[in-house]
Amino acid sequence: MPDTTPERGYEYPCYGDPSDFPTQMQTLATDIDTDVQQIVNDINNIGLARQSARMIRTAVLAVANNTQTPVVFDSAAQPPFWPGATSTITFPKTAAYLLMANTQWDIADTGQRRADLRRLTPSALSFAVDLRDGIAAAALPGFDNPVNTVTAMCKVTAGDTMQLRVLQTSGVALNLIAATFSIVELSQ
Amino acid sequence: MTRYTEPYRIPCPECNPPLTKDTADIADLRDLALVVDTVVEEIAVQADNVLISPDTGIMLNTGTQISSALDNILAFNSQEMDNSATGDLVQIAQSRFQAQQTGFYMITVGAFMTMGLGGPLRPGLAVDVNGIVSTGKGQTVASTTITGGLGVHDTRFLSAGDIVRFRWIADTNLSVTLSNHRAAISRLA
Repeated sequence: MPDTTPERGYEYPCYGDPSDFPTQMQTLATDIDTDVQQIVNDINNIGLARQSARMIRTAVLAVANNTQTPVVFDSAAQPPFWPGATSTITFPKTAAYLLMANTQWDIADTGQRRADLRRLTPSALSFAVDLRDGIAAAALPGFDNPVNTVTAMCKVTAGDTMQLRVLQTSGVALNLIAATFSIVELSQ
Repeated sequence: MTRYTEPYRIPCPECNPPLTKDTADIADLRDLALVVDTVVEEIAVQADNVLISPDTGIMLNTGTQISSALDNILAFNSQEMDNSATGDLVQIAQSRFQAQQTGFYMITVGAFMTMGLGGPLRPGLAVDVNGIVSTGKGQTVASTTITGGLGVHDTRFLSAGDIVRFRWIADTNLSVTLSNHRAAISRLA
């Protein structure tokens, strides 16, 4: 009876088997070929093709006071997650992802500024929230504007959806100057 | 007589007549299969470790943690992911990660918090490696009742066996309620 190798399961003949070197060599070669091809395919299709995207909003967004507001992005680099002109990101693949978002606000020193990476489906869940006070222009270094920075790692299932949401409590409408949302697949 | 290929040292019969005799028999085929098996397995494991499924762990607290202590270990009660070969990257009973392989890791932690009226209160989160707090981030907010979130991220070189925990630290003994804590670690290189 032929035996198989312990790790990859390649078939090889044993003493007592009928001597048929051409067939036995062909079986071993085919086993190795199929297995190595699968490894190469996995490296190319998974390891070297991790899903990633970066959505950007450059147009000013007027955010009403104390109102959860999804950021609608206006462009994307590497856009498999984003069908265009929408706030909702749909994950194409089940995996662990690194999520990073930045928001930049107009200057106002009252109330607070908040950014929230929020999964919508299969159930509502905030992966990360950043909250900080508004800041007066005089307290800002250079020409910087107040920013929120949000970072999280999470595992999501293909088809899950997510938004970057912002909230501000300055008392009046306040402009969001810019926003970015980056997604990088880390692992399966 | 057996010769070996370079660089993987795969055995094959010496076929260079008439100086040497081809010794091929059934044992040569077995030896070839076993050596190729070992070589391919090493490559497959390395590809999986580095490119496809780098060690990644995620743990959560699905409830709340209330404390007025100045220095607290963040508690977790649910594992979302642990794809390490040993299954010991996430050690949920101890609310910690333990690196299973040496390398660079991305580490993130976040929490929601609610705190009451009182004096200045600057709660912070920090990454703790082997008992040493190395990276932290504080939150300066108005001294009114607030609900919000805080997060810290860091990249660290860890040796296999290193312990990663998370702390939240306050500057007064006012009660703070933390909820939905999330901590994650992923091997980058």
